[in-house]
This record gives sequence, structure tokens and C-alpha cells, in this order.
Amino acid sequence: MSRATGAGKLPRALPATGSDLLRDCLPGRGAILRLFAWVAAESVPALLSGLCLARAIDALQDRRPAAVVGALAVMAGAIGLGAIATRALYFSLAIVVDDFRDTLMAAVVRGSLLRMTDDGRPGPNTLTQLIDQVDQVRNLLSAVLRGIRSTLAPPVAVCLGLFALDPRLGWAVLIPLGAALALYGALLRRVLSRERAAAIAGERLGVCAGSIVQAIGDIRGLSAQQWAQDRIDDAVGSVAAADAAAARTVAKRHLVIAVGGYLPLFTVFLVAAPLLAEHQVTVGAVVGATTYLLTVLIPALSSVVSGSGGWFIQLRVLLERLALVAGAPLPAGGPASAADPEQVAVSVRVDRGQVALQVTDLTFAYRPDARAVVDGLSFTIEQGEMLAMVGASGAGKSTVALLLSGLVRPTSGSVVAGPDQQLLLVPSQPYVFGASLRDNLTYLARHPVADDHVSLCIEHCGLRPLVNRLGGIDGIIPAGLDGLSGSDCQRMVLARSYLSGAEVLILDEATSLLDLDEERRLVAWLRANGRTLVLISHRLDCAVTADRILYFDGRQVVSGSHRELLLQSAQYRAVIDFAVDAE
Amino acid sequence: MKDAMTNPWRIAPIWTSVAVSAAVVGTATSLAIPALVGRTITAFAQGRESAQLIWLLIAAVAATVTMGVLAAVAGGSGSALITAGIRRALSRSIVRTEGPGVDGVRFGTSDLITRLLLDSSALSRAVPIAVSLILSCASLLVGMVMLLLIDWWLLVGVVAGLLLLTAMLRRYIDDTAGPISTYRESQAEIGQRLLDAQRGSASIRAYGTWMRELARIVRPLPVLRAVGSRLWAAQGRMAWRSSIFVPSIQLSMVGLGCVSMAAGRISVGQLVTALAYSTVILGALDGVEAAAGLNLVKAGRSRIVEVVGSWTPGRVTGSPPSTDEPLEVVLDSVTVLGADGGPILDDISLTIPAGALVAVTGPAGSGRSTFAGMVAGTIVPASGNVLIGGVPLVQIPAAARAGLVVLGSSRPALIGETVAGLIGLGLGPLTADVVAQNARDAHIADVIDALPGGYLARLDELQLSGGELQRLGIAQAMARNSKVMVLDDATSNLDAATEREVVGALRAAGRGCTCILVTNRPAVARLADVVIRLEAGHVVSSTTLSSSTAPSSTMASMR
Repeated sequence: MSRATGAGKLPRALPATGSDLLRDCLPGRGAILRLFAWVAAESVPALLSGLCLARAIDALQDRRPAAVVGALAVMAGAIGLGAIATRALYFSLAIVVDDFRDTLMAAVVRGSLLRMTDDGRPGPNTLTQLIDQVDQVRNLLSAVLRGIRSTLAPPVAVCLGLFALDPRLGWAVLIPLGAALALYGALLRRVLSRERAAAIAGERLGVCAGSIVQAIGDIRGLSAQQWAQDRIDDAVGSVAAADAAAARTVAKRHLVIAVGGYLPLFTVFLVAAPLLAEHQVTVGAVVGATTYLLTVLIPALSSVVSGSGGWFIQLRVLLERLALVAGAPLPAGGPASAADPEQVAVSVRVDRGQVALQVTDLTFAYRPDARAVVDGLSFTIEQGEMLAMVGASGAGKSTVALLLSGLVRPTSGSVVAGPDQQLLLVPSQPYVFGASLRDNLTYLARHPVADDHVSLCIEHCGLRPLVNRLGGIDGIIPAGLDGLSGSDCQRMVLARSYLSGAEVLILDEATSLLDLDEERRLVAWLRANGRTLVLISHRLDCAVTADRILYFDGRQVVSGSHRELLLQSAQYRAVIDFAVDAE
Repeated sequence: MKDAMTNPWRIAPIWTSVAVSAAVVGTATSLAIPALVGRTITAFAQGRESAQLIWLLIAAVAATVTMGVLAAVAGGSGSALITAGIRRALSRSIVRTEGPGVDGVRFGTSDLITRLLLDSSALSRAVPIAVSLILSCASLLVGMVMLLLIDWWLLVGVVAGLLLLTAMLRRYIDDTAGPISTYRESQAEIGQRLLDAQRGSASIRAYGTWMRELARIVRPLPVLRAVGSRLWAAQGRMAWRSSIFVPSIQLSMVGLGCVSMAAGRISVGQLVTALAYSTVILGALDGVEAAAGLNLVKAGRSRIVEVVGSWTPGRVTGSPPSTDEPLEVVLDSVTVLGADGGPILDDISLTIPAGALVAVTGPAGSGRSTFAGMVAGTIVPASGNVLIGGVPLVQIPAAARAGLVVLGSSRPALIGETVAGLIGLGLGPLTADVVAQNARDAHIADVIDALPGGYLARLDELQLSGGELQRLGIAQAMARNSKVMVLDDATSNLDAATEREVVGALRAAGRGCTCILVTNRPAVARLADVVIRLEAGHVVSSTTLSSSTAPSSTMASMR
């Protein structure tokens, strides 16, 4: 249990299938081989049990007490060694299983992060389910590995012991046992598909219930409780049907014990009866053989049926599902490079030291055949200026923000940042996480930030009441953000953006939950501190104070100062008239 | 409901009794097998006739296998039904919980889903685990009696070993009970961190900090690991000790058996029988894992009762006033308390005239959203009454409120599979015309028409802007034709012109509803008949604006 934990170790390649995922997440071959060596060593007492018993009984009937004691002493020694092996086995099992869990968890979290930052959608599983599934996989792997001890090792030990007793008795057991294995293989495919169906039904239930729990406020508001109840009940019903079908198929595995465990009792009797009569085998050998069957083989096969076989199948099914998440493709261009501000500044160097951002002939369409969302947009922002983008919802303002920040590559045209100008896009949905307030605020800071500086920022961003409530800037915000309002989150994100040191801030509805006065005050403060601002807002009050406004009327983009636009665009004039009238 | 959680087998009594009977019969026949095998061997060794014994053995094996299949089928079907029953009870409590204060805060999403998926199935295993424990004990007793009948000397070693094993078992259960719940907690913490990251995925993308997020989310892993190693240590201790005890007991039996055989007290077949019964007796060791499973059952039960027990089924049977006229809303000294016990809304009394369009404004944190939820009945006041058309809202069951009052939110959830499903959510089948009319009124019809699939476009494939989403939510709220419509910042992402048109449609003739708009935009407030301003949970002003479209009695009377 000495290995490094956490995100340190991750599968290098993104695994595509369940077995890839298993291989990538299991620790090195050495640990696995050690584990199997201990399992083999641990099975020695089982291997010797029938043999020693046979020798002891034969010696007893021949009246050789010393040989009886000798056989029992060999057995006692084997038991001692077996216990040492078991102890070592559990140490090695703990390392293998928990290393596996840590790596798998990191791989799955990484896959989810990549997926959600790519298109914002989770995989087929809800996130909570993912975490539970990782733990289920851990438990199943542990059960499967321990199952090898109790299911795979004993039959092997029994066969070896029987062949050592008498090869004819060995064959009498091996043939039905082989038939049982074949039967098990034939059932496996069917069981596998049933278990997979059950796992998928379970996931659907999780997704369905998760979306309903998250939307419970809306559901109450719409008095749609009955609808929600029916949806969950339907999903619960499908899970029950799938589970029951899986249980019916799994039950057939009891035939495996019948063929592999009980049938050999009769074949051994059938083979041994004539041989005993002709004194070709001893009574001890028959006693040893039946003891192997009754005390080792049948209990081992019963445990296959009662659990370990199913565990292996569930493990396979779950790993397949998790591989869908852990194997999420990397976003085009790689997630790390996409947001690296330096990547935005392409080769062209701008001579004028005052330029913050120069946009030339920017064009973007989601698909080559689709209408361009942004078509031939050109403008320049000087350092310290403020640019506002206003216009109808869905006209492409957020797309321009993504293009400016380099998160989306334009179809043609270029965005060039001025020398030493760092850009930061601040999306409308504020991101606050469970950690101290300080950690949240300095999340993007490139250098350590002095306390004075943080305090100043807290005052300006209106965070003092929150700081007081949390008991200081090191107060912890709980995961799940209980008791935090949306506007508090936006204030925190604005403070964080300021402390990031980025010179150019692109605020995409990042102030939407604040009051007009507060929005105006914060924008003025950011400008007074030398930030170049690109502001997207559906509220015009703050936008009209910008040095330059891009007005999106739904078809084209008109650019100019507030005054210029009033003269140029009748539509803009109408919008402003309405807003002023409303005030 | 709590009773069913204490005795979950009552959900599927027939399957459960079939499974239990089959398990009992199967165990009985399997216990006959060692005795029959021993007699057969003795017959062989003494050269006697053994055909009848073999037939009996075949019958015992056949019965054991058949009962095994039957018990597995019945047990599996029963536990599927039981799990489903528990899950239905849970989901009912989740969906229908009503009570004072703000809802949904007690349990996180991640936590509730864990209860729904994992704890419910853990609880459904109560009967199988209990049955296997009881049958293990029965086998143990039968095995001991059989040993006693063969040779009481043989029993002595087994009993001594068994006492040691029981002590080990008890220690094992104590060792594992505590860590299991710590383990679950740190696991839920990882889940919650991942959920937080999902909420901020647009920001993480913009920041390019996903590697740091990865490190942050998996930070509780070492805690999991530390707890896990305590569980492993307990398991390992149990395993290596039992790997000494179990074979040693059998070894001592072989030794004692040899002495008895030499003395002529037992036959060779009886030694085999005795060894097989000792395996049966020690097989009670498998009850170790079953007993640890009881801890999971217990934990599952208390986690489920915690949720199910928090739900008191509504006993109110009032009915909403039936009229085609708009209804008046009266707040009668209403107080709503927050989680900390302090008032969010403090003793508010006012009357909103029937058919009025009311704007509720106020700074962030003034209690605007709580006001909206309280009028819509999703937040139950600690004291005072909300009366709609003269009937107290709390006396009308939730299911009967659909046509009475509706609450539209600022970020409507995308539920209902398709766009049409979302608009008509919970209303049963609506005609395409009705759906389209509501979409037109909410100024979202053009957007929907342009979607691939139109009204049947799947919600999980939509990429909507905030404003489009809000208009979809307004169409959804309008489709309910409620007498009172409360919109909580539901137009905040619309541009000014669209917002004006949507608000105009709200008061269009024929809707006949009382509209309450929570907003922080002066432009909207200007469209209203009455403006109510909240500050720190109090109404600081209530202004009636003269408007030609307003009904005649627009006086919001402060009492």
C-alpha cells in the first residue's frame, strides 16, 4: 500500500473497450504474478488433503501407525505454509485492487471532464453513478480475485491430487468437470447479454432519476409531480424486469454443479467398484477421491454459482460501460492547448504597442454547408478600451466570444492578441467549487497574490458579506455550494478574473445576475484598473458606455460608437428608444 | 411506508416464500448426501450390495439441484420486485415531499441517487442474507448431530474450532462496520466535486484548467484508500486465521477418526461422512460474508428510512375554486424562514387583484425568488396563509394545483424528452395546435420550426441560448392555462424587444390569469399594473401604475 495515489498515474492511451480499460488500470505484471503465486501456494493444503488421507487410511489398514502419523504431519506442515501464503496474498490483493481503483477513478474522472468540456454533455451515465460504478468495479475485482482462490484453484488442486492418487480416478472426475466447464461457457454468452441489459436499465434509471431530482424545483412549480413519479416508476419497472430475467438465466448455472460436482461422485463409484473388487485400487484411494469431491470440489463449484461467476460477468459489463466514459476522445486540438492564451496569438506581430486585440475578416460556420454564424467580422480593440456586443439572443455573440478566446477555431480570418496581452473568457454560468474562498479567488492567478490585494478585490466585488458569513477568506465553501446565491458566484468569478492578471477580459453575460448599479460599478472598477473589456450583455445600460459597440441584429453586425450606431442603424435606434422609454 | 422498509419481503410475499421453502428443502436434501456417500463407500469396502444406496443418492442430488434452481429463480425475481418497491417508495418521497421551508436542501442530488440505486438494492438483500444465515445455522446443528451419532469424539474438535471461529467472526463484523460509512461519505464527496465541475464545464473549458480539476476532484482518494486498507486488514486477518483453523480441524478429525477406526468404533465410510459434515459445519464460515452483508443492509435501511420517513403523505383534500374568471391572490401575514431559522420573508400581507400583471422587484437577496416560490406553493410558509380565490393554497393537494398556479423559472430544466414533451410536461397528450399556439405566444415557434425534427426534436441534442431556453420555459408555463402565473426572473435573458412582446402575450385577452413577474428590470416593471418592491424580506413599496390595459381594481392594498 505504498504506491502514490491520486491523479499521478493514468492510462497513457485512452482505452476503447472494457478489457483495454482493465489492462490499463491494473498495476504491472509483477504484482499480478505475485498474486497468482500466492494463490498457488495457498492451494497446497487442498491439493494434499485427499492424498494424505488416502495414505493414512491405507497405512491404518496395513497397521503401520508411523506412516499414519507421517501422512498427517505432512498435512500439518502444508496447512502452516498455506496460512503464510494467505496472509501474503491479502497484502498483495489490497495493493492490486486499490491501485486499480485509484487509476480507474482518475481515468473516469478525466474522461468525464474531457467530455463535459468538449460538448458540455455527460456520458450515458450520470456523474454520481460513475463514481458508484467505479466502486462497484473495485468490489467486483476484489471478489473475482478472491473468487479465483475459492473457485479456480480448488478444481485444479483436486485434479492434480486425483491423478497422483490414480489416473483412472483422475479421468473419472476430469471428463464430467470438462463437460461442466463447456456448459458454463455456453451459458456465459446468454448470461452476459442479460446482465448487460440489466446494467443498462440501471443506468437509465440513474439518468432519469438524476434529471428529475435536479429539476425538482421546476417540477413542483409546474405541479408535474405525477409525471415525474410515473417516469421514475417506469424506469424502476424496467430495471426490475431486466434483473428478474438475468436471475432466471443465472439460475441455470446450478446445472454446472450437478454436472461438474455431483456427477463425478457417480463416475468415481462406477470406475472404482470393479477396480476395488480386483484390488487394483485401495479403499484409501476411493476415500481420498470422494473426500476431494465432497470437501473441495462441490463447495468450490457452489461458490461459482452463488457468486463469483456472476461477479466476473458484472465486472465485464461495468468495465464496458465505464470505457465509454474513460475513452472519451480528446477534443480537437487538445483541451489544454485550446485555452492557452498564447495559442491565440498567431504568428503575426502587431507593431502598435497599444493594440489589445485585432480581428480580421473573422468568419465561422459550424459546418461547411451551414450558414455562417459570423461572416467577415473585422475590428481592433485598443488596450484599456471597452467593446460591447449587444443584440438579439442567438445572433452569434457567444460564438464571437469563443472565437476571440481561441476556444473555437475560425473557418477563416484571424484573431491576433497584442504583445503581452493575456485573454480570459468568463462564461455566463459561474464556476465555483468546494474549497476555501481564497482558493476560488486565486484559482487563475499566475503568481502568489498578497492578502492586501485579495482584500481590496473582495471589497470592490461586493464579497464582504460573503466573507463575513464564511468567517474569513479561508472559510470553506462546501462541495455542492449549499447556501451560495448565483450573484455571489458571479461576484467571485469576477474577482477571480481580475486576480488572474489577464489584461483582456471577455465577459459573456458574466454580470447577468447582478443589479444594474453593481454591474456598472464593477465594470468601471475593472476599466480603472487597466483591463481591456469585451462585454456581452442583454442589458443596454452598461453596454452604451462602451468605446465601441457591435450590434448584432440577427442578420449582420454593425459596429461603431453609441452615437455612430444611433445614426447608422434604425433597428439599433428602435431598441435604444424602447429601453430609454422603459426606464 | 416505513413498515415496508422494515420488512421489505412483504412487497413480494409469494416469491419470497417459494424461495425460502426451496432453500430449506434443498438444504435438507443436500445434508443427506454425505451420509449416503459414506454408506456407499462402506458397502464397497465390505463388498456388499450398493445399488439401492446409489439410487437414493441420485434422488438426493436431483432434489438438491432442482431446489437450487428454484430458489435462485424465485429469490432473484423476488428481490427484483422488492428493490423496485423500495425504489418506488423512495422516489415518491423525493418527488412529493412537502413541508415548511425551502425544498431539496436536505439531500444532495448525488446522495439521493446513491440511495435510490445502491442502498435500495442493499436493503432488498435482507431476506436472502437472513435465510442463508438461518440455513447455515441449521446445517451446522444437523451436521453436529450427525457427527455425534457417528462418534462423539469427532465432535469435540469441531466444537472447539467453531467457538474460536465465532469469536473471530464477531471481531470481523465490528472491524468493518465503522469504515463502511466513512468510505461512502468520501465517495459521495468525489461525486459532488465532479458535479460541481460539470456545472462549471464552460468555465473549465475557457480556463483550460481541466488537469487541475482532475487533481481537485480525486483529492479524497487517499482517504478512501486509508479506509479501504482498514477493511483489507480486517479481511486478511480473518482469512489467514481461518486458513489455519479450518484445515486443522479437519486434520484433527482425520487423526481422531484413525484412532476410532483402529479401535473399531467407526467404519471407513463413516470417516468420509464425518469429514463431509465437518465441511458443512465449517461452511457456516461463509456466513462471515453474509453477516458483513447485514451491515450493508442495516446502513441501507437507515439511509432509506431517513428519506422515506421525511415524507408525510399529504392529507389535504381541498379543491381549487372552479371559475372562468381570474382569481385574486391574498397573502395573509406570511413568514418564510431560511435554513438558519432567520426570516427570508417577514410577515407580509397584501392583496393582488384578480387579473393584474404584477412586477416584484428588489435587490439581490431581498427574498424575490422566495416570494415567487411561496405564491406558487413550492415553498410553504412557516406561518400565515397564501389564499388564491379565497382558498388557502396549503389545503389544495399538489396534484390539483396544475390549473391553479404555475411557477416558471429562469433556467427551465430540459426534461420531457422532446420539445413538445417539455411544453406539455405532465399535461397528458396535447394537440399539436395547442403546443404550437403556446410556442407562438412565447415567441419561440420560429426557433422550434428551424430545429431538425421541429417539435419532436430531442432535448438532449438541443443547443439553445439562454434566451431561447427561457422562452421555451414560458411556453411550458403558458400551456398549463393556470389561473395564477408566477415567473421568477424567467425573461432575464431575453433582449428588451422580445421581452416586451412576451410580457404582452402574457396579458393578452383570453388568458384570464393573474401574472406575477419577479424581475430586476425597470423596463418590465413599467409594463406592470402593480409594482411591489421587496427589501430584506419586507414590502417597502407597492405602486399602482395607471395603464389603459389594466383591470379597474388595480389597487394593491397594503394591510
